[in-house]
Amino acid sequence: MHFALIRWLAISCWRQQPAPLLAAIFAIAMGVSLGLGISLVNTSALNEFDNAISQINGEAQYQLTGALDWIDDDVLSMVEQSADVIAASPAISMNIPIDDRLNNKPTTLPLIALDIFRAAKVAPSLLPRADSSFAGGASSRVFSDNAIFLSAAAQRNLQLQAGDQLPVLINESTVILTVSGDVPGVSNDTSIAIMDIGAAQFSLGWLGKLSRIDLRLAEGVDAKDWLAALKQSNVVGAANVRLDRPDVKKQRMSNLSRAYRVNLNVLALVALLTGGFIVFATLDLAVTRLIPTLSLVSVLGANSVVRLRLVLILSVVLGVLGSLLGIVLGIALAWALLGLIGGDLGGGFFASTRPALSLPASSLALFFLLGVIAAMAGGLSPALKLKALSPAHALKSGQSLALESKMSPLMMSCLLFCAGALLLLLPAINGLPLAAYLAIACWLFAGVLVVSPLLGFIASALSRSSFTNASPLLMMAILRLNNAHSRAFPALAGVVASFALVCAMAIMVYSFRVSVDHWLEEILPASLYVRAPTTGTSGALNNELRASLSAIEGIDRIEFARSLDLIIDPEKPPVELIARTIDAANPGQSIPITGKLLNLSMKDDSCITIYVSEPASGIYDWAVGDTVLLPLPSDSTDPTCFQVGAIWRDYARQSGAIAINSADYKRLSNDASVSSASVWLKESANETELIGKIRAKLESLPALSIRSAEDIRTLSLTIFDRSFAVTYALEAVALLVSLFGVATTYSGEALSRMREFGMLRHLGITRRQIATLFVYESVFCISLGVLWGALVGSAISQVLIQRVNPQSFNWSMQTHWPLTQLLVAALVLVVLGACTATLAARKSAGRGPIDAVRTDW
Amino acid sequence: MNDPIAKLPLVVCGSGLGKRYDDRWLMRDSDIQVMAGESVALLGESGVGKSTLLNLIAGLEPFNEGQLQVAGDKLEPNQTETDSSAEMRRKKIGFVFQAFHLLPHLSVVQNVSLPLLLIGYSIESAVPEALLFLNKLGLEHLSEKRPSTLSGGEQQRVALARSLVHKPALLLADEPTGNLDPESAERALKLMKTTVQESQCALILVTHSEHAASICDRRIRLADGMLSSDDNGTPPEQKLKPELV
Amino acid sequence: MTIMKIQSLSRRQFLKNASPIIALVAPGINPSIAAELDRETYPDVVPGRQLVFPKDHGAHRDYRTEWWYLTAWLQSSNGPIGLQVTFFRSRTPYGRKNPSRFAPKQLILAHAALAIPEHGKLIHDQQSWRETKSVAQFSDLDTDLTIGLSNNRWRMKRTQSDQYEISIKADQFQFNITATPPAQMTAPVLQGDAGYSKKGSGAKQASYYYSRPQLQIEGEYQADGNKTAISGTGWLDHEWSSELLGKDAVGWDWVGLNFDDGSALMAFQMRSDSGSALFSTARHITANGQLRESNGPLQFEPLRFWISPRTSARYPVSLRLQTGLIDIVIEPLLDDQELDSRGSTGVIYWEGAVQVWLSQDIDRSGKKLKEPVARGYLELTGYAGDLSI
Repeated sequence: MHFALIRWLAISCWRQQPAPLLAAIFAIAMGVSLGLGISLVNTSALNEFDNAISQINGEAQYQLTGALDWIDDDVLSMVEQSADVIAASPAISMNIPIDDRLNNKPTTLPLIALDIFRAAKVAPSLLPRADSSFAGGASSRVFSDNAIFLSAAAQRNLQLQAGDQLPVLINESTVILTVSGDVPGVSNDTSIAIMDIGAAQFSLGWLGKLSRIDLRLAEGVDAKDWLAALKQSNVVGAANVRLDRPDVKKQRMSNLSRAYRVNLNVLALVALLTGGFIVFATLDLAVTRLIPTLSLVSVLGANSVVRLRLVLILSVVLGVLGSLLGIVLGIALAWALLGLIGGDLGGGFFASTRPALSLPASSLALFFLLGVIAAMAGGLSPALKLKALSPAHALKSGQSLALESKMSPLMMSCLLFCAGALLLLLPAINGLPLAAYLAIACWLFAGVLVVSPLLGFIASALSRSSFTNASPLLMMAILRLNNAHSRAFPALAGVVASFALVCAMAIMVYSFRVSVDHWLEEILPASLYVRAPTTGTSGALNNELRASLSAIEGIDRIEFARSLDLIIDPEKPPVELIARTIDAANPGQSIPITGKLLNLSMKDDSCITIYVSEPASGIYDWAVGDTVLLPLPSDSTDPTCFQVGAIWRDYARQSGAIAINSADYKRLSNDASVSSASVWLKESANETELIGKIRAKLESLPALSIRSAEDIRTLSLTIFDRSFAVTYALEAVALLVSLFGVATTYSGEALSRMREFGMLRHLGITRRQIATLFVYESVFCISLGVLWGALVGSAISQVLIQRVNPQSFNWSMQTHWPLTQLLVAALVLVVLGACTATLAARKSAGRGPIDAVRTDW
Repeated sequence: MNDPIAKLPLVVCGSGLGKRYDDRWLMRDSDIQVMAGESVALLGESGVGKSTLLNLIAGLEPFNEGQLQVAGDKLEPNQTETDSSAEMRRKKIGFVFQAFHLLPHLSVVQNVSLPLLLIGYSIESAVPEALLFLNKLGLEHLSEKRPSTLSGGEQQRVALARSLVHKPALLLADEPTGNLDPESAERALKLMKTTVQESQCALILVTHSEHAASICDRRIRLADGMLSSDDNGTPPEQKLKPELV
Repeated sequence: MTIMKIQSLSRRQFLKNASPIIALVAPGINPSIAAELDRETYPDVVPGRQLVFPKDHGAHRDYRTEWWYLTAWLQSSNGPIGLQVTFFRSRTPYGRKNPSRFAPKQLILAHAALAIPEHGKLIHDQQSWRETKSVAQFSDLDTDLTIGLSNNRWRMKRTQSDQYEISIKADQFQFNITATPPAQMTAPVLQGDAGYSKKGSGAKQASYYYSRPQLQIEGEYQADGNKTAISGTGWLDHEWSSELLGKDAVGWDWVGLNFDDGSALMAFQMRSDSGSALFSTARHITANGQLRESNGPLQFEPLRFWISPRTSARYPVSLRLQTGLIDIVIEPLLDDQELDSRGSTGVIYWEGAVQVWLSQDIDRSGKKLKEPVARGYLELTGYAGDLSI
C-alpha cells in the first residue's frame, strides 16, 4: 500500500522544512482554540443560567404571575381555596439596590423572599439557614423583620458574613438588613439573597404585593381550565394573571442570547477559516517542493494515487495535530476567560455570573472535526493538482513547476461572487442570518481566489509602463510577479483573507459605535438625568419632591418619566414601557425616530398612539399604523387599543421598548408615579452646582443617581468597547495568523529560490540587492493583498451592517469608515510582512552562491 | 617581444595564488595568465577545485595567498566580503553553468536582457539589444519562449547569449557541455569559440571533455595543489610579469 | 407538659444540621437570647388566674407556646390502634409592627400519628404554617384549629355540644373522629393548682394546663385500603405558657392513662442528664372528676428498653410506675412508636399507645394474670441524643 513510502516522503517533507508545517499546525490550533473557547464560555454561561433558574424554580409546576411586575397578594387567598391546588408558595423576586456608599461592591443583589414552610415543598434548595454562631445561637432569626440570608457567592461578592449589616435602598430610605445566615442549597456560584416573605413585604415596600405564586396542581387538572375558573373571581380577574411554566424562562434566555452567541461563534469560525487558508498555502508550497522527489519516485513506479494519498495524509495529520493543540488551548482559553471576565463576552446577558466551566463532549468533538476538515480542505487543491502532475516532464526540465489548477480562478471567483449576491436576497432563518453568513463566506473565497490573476494583471500593466525604469531590481521584481504570480498565491491568500476580515469587523464595529454615539446624543438631549432606584412596584419621586425640583434656580425645565416591564408574549422577555413626555405633533423631538411617521389619514383616533423601538418592531412584527393590544390595566370594559405611530432607534433594550405619552399612561393606569427625571439646565447654570442643589432637595433619597448626559455617554461607550473587546481580539488574532502565513510562505520562497539567488550573485548582484529584490516583491504583493483585502472587507462589512445585524438583533446603523484604524492596520501588516519576508530572504541569500549553483539538486 | 599574444592586454593575471579549505590546500603558489581573446581549458579530476578556481577569479570566493588581477581590477587576498567584486562581475565577467540556470519565469529575451539591465540599461534599450544579440547568435526564434519549453542545448545557447550580451572581458564556463548531447555540445562550443574570438573576450573553460578542451588555445591542469600547463608535450609556459592592463 | 418538650429539646440541638423549621418554633432558648428579646412581650404564667370556659378552650395568642394534644387508644376490626394528634401554636418575637399578611407573628404546627401494630412502626405526618386566614388559623374563643390546604386539611373543633370533631387528611392516612367527654366528667380537669401547673423550681416555670380524660371516641380511619371504624377512649391536654425551663432537664416522661373504672391518671417526671428525676408530679382523677393527690414518692422504673434502629436512641418503653396510691406496669402497644417530627417541631421522641396492668397482676415471669386495667399514652422525650452516624 505504499504506506512506508508515504511515511518516508512525509518525514522528508518535514525534515526539509519543519517551520511551515509547524505554522500550519499552529494556524489550525488558533482557529480551533478560538472557536472552542468562545463556544465553551457561552455554553458554560448558559448552563449556569439554566441551573440557577432550576434552583430558583425548584419543583414548581407553574408560576402565577401578572402582566406587570407584581400581583395582589389577595390572589393567594383565592388560589388557596381551590381544591385543585396541592401546593402554593408565594414569592417576591427582585433585585435590591444596595446603598452605593459601600464602595466597589455590586450595586444590586437578586433577592427572593419566600414563606419557608410553603417553599419547602416547592423550592427546597432556596431555604435559608440561620447561622449557628449568631448572637446567642438561636436559629429563629429566620423571621426577623430585617434578617437576610446570603448565599456563599453573595457573601463573597459583598464581603459580608453573618452578623454584618447590609444597607439597601427602598423607595425613599435606606433600610438596614442584618445578614443572618446562608442558603446552603444553591450552588457555589449562585449569588442570591433570601428573606422571609413577611419581612420582605414589610421592609422592602411590597405590602400587599407578590411577584408570583409557585404552584403545584393536583394530577389530572388542566391548567388552563383551572386558571379560567379562578379568574371568575373579581380579585383574580382584575389582576390580569397568567400561568407560566418555569422552563419558559430558560428558553427565553436561550433565545435572547442565541443570536449573539451564534454571531460570536461564526466570528471565531472565521479564524478557523483563515487557518484553513494557511494550511492550503503550506501544503501547496510543500507539495511544490516535493515535486522533484515525487517525480523521481513516480517514474520509479509509484502512481498518482500515492501522490494524492501523501498530501491528504499530510493534511489530515496537520489537522489532527492542530485540532488537538487547539482543543487544549481552547479549554485553557475558556477557563481563563471565565475566571477573568465571567460568563459574559459582551452581550450583557450573563453579566452577573461567574460560571463553572462545562465541557460538553459534543463541543469538543465538533471543533476537533472542524479543525481536521479545515486542514483537509486546505490540502485538497494541492492534492488534486499533484495528482495531475506529469512526472517525467517535471524531471526533465529540472526546475520546480508551479502547479496549475484546472478551473480558472477567475471563473470560480465570479461564480462565488454571484452566489453570494443571490444569498443576500434571502431573509433570516429562525432569527439567524444564515444566508448572510454564507454570502460572506462566498465573497471571501471569491476575493481570495481572484487575487492571483489580479496580481498578474497589475504586474503586467506595470511592466509595460515606465514605472519600472527606476531600478533594474524593481524591473526584475515586477517581471517576476508578472510571470509567476501564482507562486505568490499562498501568502496573498492569507493576507487577503485575514485583512478582509479585519476590515469587515473594524468597519462594522466602528459604524456601530458611531451610530451608537449619535443615537446617544439624540436620546440624551437633557443635561442631567436623575434616577430614583425603584424596587419594582412604585416610583420614588412623589409630587412634593417633583415640585421642589422644578423650583430650583437654574433649571430650565424638567420632564418626568416612568418605566416598567410589560409581558406581551409569555414566551418572550418583557418589553419596557416608557411613559414620558412626547409631543404627539412632533414626536421626533423627544425620541430618535427612524423611518416615517404615521400618516394622518391612517390614524385611528380611538386608539392611543405608541412608539415602538426597532427591536420591538422586529420581534413582534409591528409596523407603523398597526394596532396592537397591550396588557395594560384598563378601567373600561373595552380593551384599550394602541396604534403604532412611529418606530425609533434603540440600542439599549434588545427585547424591545415602547414609548407612550405619560398623560395617556396616567389616564389608563392611574399610576402617576415616576421613576426618573430629565433636567434641562439654563445656559448660565453651573452643572456641578446644580447637581448639588438637586441632591440637597432629594435628601430623603440619599443615593439617588444623578448623572450628566456626558457621563452616561462615556459610560455607554465604555461598555460598548468592552462588549466588542472579544471582536477586537479576534481581529488581532486574524492578523497574527496572516503574518504567520506571510512569514512561512516567504521563507519557503526564499529557500526555493536559492539557486536563482546564487546565479544572480554570479551575475554580479550583491546580497543586499537580492534582499532588496525580495523586499520589492513582498511589499508589492502584500500591499496588493492589503488593498484588495480592504476592498473585499468593505463589501463584507456592508453585509454585516445591512443584513447580519438587522436580522440578528433588529438594529439598523449607518456606515462609517474608520480610515485611520484601517490605514494603521494596513501599514502594520505591510511593514511587518515585508520585514518577515526580508529576514527570510537574508537568511537564504546569505548562503554562499557556490552552494546555490551546485549542479546536483 | 614580437609575440602578438604578448601585446594583447592581460585579462587574468594571478601569481602565487593559494587557496585553503580548512587545513587542506587546494592550490599553492600557482600562477595563471589569460590574455584577451585567449581560450584556456582548465582540466583536472573531480573535486580537485576547478570550479573553486573559477570562483576565485570571479571574486566570489577569497584566496588566501598571492596576487590576482582580473580585467584591470585588483583583488585582495582573504577578502570575505564578496560583494565588493559585484560590480566587476556585472560589467566584466560572464558565467555559463552546467545547469544552465535561466530564470524560469522570464522569457528568453528577458533572461538575456538581465545583464544589460544590471549595468544600467533601461528596459526599452535592453530588450532590443538583447534581441540583436540573439539574432546574431541565430537564436532569435526562441526569444519569446520560456526556458522550460526549450531543449537542453537551446537552453545552454541562450545561457551563453546571456553571458556575453554585455560584452564582458572574461567568460567563465563551468562544464558547459556536461548536460548536453554531443551534437548540442558541439554547437554550443562552436558558438562559444566564435563569439569569444569575435569579441576578443578571454575564456576559461572548465571541462572533462577532450573535445571541449580541444577548441581552446591551450590547456592547464590543476593537480596536487599545483596549477601547471598541460600541453601534451609542449614546453611549459613562460612566466610573464604581470602588467597592468 | 409539651412545653418542656419543645423548649428543652431545642436547646439540646439534637440534630447536627438544624432544619430551618426547628428554628421557628423555638425562640429564645438561651438566656442571652432572651435578654435580646423584649421580656415584657410574653405574659407570665402566674397563679391565681381563673380559667373560664369556653373561652379558655380557645387560643391565648399572647403567650409564647400553646398546644392541644389528643391521644386515644382505639379498637378497630383489625385490633387495637393508637392515635395521636397535636396542634401547636407558637408566637414568635417578631413581626409585631408588620402589617403584612405574612407577618410571622404566630406559627401553627401539627402532627398526627397512628400506631397500627401490623405496620411495625408509626404512620405519621406533620404540617407547619404561619397563621394564615382559612389555611392555618385558630380561634381565640374556643378550640377551633385549622391547618392545611383543602386536599390536606386538618381540623380540631369543639362544638357547641362540647364534642370535639377531629378530621385529619394526610398523604398516607386520614381519620375523622368525634371525642365526647363522659357524662361524669363534663368539666375540664384543671391540673396543678386550679390550672396553674408548675414545671420546675423557678417561680415562672409553669403553664396553664387542663386535661379532658376519658373522652369517648367514635370515628373511622383509613391507612391503606378501606375505611375502618374505630372507637375507644382518649385524652385531650390543652396547655399554654411563656416561660423557659430549668437548664438541667434533658427530657421528661409523661403518662396519661384512662382506667376502666372511669378514673384517670396523669404523671410526669423531668429527667436530668444522669437519668435521675429533677421534678415530678402525679395527679389522680376519680371517675367523677375529683382530684386526688398522691402522697408518696413518685417512681418511674424502666422495665424494658427498646433501641431505635434509626436513631439508636434507647427508650424505656415498658415502665413500672408507683405513685404511692397505685403501682402499675405500663406496656406499649408496639415497641416502635418513635416520632420524627423534625419537619415541624424539630424533635425526635417516643409517643406511644400503652396498656396498663396492676403490678400485682403480673407474675415474676412477666405473665399477665389478669386483664389490663387502663389504656393511654406514654411520652418519652430526651432520649434521642445527638444522632450517631
